[in-house]
Amino acid sequence: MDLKLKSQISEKLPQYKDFDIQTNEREPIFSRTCDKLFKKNKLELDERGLNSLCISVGFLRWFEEEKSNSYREYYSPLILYPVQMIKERSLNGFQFSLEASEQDTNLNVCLVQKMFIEYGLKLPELELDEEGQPLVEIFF
Amino acid sequence: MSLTKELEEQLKAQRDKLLVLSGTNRLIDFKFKIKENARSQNYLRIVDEIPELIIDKLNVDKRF
Repeated sequence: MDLKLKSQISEKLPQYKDFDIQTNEREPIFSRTCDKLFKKNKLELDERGLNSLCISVGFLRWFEEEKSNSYREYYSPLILYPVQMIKERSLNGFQFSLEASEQDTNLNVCLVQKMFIEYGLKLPELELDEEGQPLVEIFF
Repeated sequence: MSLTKELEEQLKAQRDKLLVLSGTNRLIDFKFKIKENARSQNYLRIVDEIPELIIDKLNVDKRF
């Protein structure tokens, strides 16, 4: 990991040092979406013990040929970083935050399998550092 | 081949068989488009952030 580059970036642009995540959604859809994701995540955890909420880093844009010589466009998430959503009361209503899940960060297994089985393509593996954390920047 | 390794490989093969690889799986065909007048979405798009920094912060501080 290029720490120098990171520190230069974060020194110049203070928004990268804070603990807020910027999204492109506006109120009230933002709050409704957070609430929906929170409830869905909680339900799946309670009922199935599964955490399906992830931050996806990068998407693969690819095309599949259809019968009529046309192509269908797909976007598939590449790296999945499992997180959990926390909902807390705040002065302005509710505040949502993300917490790292204990599950491992992985490549999208479905995409890896589809590319291999249907096209014979092998996606590069996700390398890990000494602490077992994914080296996202090397992958791209 | 040890029994553990053989079991691991068999489990992996069985897990792979369970994967849905069609376009109905959102991990294969993720739809960014949303309906007009939608009250909420199934995802949030993070913008103007550096992915490595977000992951680093989550790994170190565990929370955002």
